[in-house]
Amino acid sequence: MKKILIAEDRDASRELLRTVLAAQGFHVVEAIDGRQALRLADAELPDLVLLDLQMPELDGFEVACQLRQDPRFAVTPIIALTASAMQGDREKALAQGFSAYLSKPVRLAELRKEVSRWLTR
Amino acid sequence: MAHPDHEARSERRFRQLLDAAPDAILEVDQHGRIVLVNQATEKSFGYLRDELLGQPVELLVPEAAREKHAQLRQGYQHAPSVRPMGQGRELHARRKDGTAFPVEISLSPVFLGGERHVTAIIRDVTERQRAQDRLKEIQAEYALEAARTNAELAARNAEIQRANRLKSEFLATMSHELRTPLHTIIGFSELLGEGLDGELNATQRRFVEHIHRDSLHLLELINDILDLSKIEAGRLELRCVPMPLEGALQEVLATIRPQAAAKSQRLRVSTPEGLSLDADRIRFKEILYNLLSNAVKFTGEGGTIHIAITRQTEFAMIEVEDTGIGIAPEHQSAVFDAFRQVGATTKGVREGTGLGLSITRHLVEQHGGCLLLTSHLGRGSRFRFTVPLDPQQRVARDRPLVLLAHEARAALDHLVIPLMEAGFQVAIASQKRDVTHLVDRLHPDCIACGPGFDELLENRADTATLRWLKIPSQPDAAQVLAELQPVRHL
Repeated sequence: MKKILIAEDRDASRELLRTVLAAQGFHVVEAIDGRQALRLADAELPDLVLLDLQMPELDGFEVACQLRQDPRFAVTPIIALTASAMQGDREKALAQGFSAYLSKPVRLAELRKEVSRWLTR
Repeated sequence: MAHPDHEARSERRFRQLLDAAPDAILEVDQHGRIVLVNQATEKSFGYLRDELLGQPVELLVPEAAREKHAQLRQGYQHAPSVRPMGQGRELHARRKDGTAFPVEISLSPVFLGGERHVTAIIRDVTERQRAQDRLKEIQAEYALEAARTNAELAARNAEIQRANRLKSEFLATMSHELRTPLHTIIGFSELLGEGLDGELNATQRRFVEHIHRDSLHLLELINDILDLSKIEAGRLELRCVPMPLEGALQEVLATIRPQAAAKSQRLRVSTPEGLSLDADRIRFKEILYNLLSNAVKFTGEGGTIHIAITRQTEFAMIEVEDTGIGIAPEHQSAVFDAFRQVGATTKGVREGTGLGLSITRHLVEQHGGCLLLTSHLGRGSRFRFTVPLDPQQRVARDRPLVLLAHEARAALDHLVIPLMEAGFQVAIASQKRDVTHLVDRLHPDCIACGPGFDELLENRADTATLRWLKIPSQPDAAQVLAELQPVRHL
């Protein structure tokens, strides 16, 4: 079973992501901030990471940056998730090591498709 | 030998002439003693003639300058010439009461029976200097005032920039804060609707669909408000690149087809092959989507929506025509206003945000195109817009292109159609910040500038190569056309 790490500080959003992805048959581990995300990544070695960009402690950009420096996560799909809609955010995320970018509100079909796309390669 | 009478008359005439002169005139002998003065000398210096005659001329010089004056006088007598005295220096004379006043002096040598005398004409320049001083004062006041105004403008400018930055930050924050809860509202209502955690009954499903649909509407509103704010703040940037029309068109049609099918509407598309635009792909799709979804929305069951794309020299012309409810002439300009849906004619169709056409028109214009509406109530509407072609596909211009640069929408509305009917191609800059990039992008044959726009052109490096005319805040179409006459035959 493929393992997905989601890092999201808001409970409701985390439950939504977990429910959708678990129903799709993935094993989901959850972090509530950036620091915990790094610890869980190290312990669980997820196949895909879904990172909210705005989180307390370490934000998504920093988490992605640190993960990419670790050879174990050099090619792991890391997907950014953000409610920010400013121009240039997507480019910035892709330039800083993210594999893909989803904006909130995310449509469930889009989320499922994106995750499957990276995990069935 | 002259006749004594004759001599006396001549002497009198000379005296009268001398006394009529407004300037002080005096003559000094080779020892520097005064030998002749006129009335103006008495008046200027406050001495009587007899008090002056025989006195050294230094009597009329301020004490501090007397010694120097005597030296200069001796030097002059060795090399006399007709010249103004003390060029470039400020000269002063001294009255009997000891007060000094500014003067201008011209000197000429006179030879009298082997003696070298000097005639001096002394002009009191008190008044002139006072005027000059006042002028200098006024100039200084002006300079101070100008500096103060500039400082105020700079401060105001900084304030505006700060306000603009705060507004952008506020928008970014607001947008983020609004989307965050919508994310879960939309997500969970989708999830519930899917019946993932147990099937819903029909009523529950309908309730959930209401939540879902309205939360999507709310999202649409937030996106549109954000876009409109960006447009107003001049922060909406287009990334125009050569892009094939076909792919973008098909993507938009894929979204529109199910909506049209739900109302049994027919979609007819005619487009030339291989057309490539110079446009921002995402925004171009948005323009097309907005017009097509409006057409579907305001056209009844079984109606037809026709999309026709044609190639012009430098533009693609895209037409979206429907057989819908149409828009009455008096409402045709209001449909482009933000937050306006034309109540009486929409017959209960209220699912849009009312911002779509306002944004759409701005997007078209920022691309360098022009959006036009023709409509007949009850028979349907036709929206036409132009988009610049990929530079590789442009051919030589066959009709002159006028860039209408004006902030008043009423003025633009008033001019666009008459100009087009007169054979011009028209592009629009409704905001000052759009002028520069539109001139660069389109190379218009003429720019019709509303108040304030011409200054932007004057400041350009290529200002000499541009042709523009000023138009008033409420221009008259016939007059503008008359002024454009020379451009017509370029």
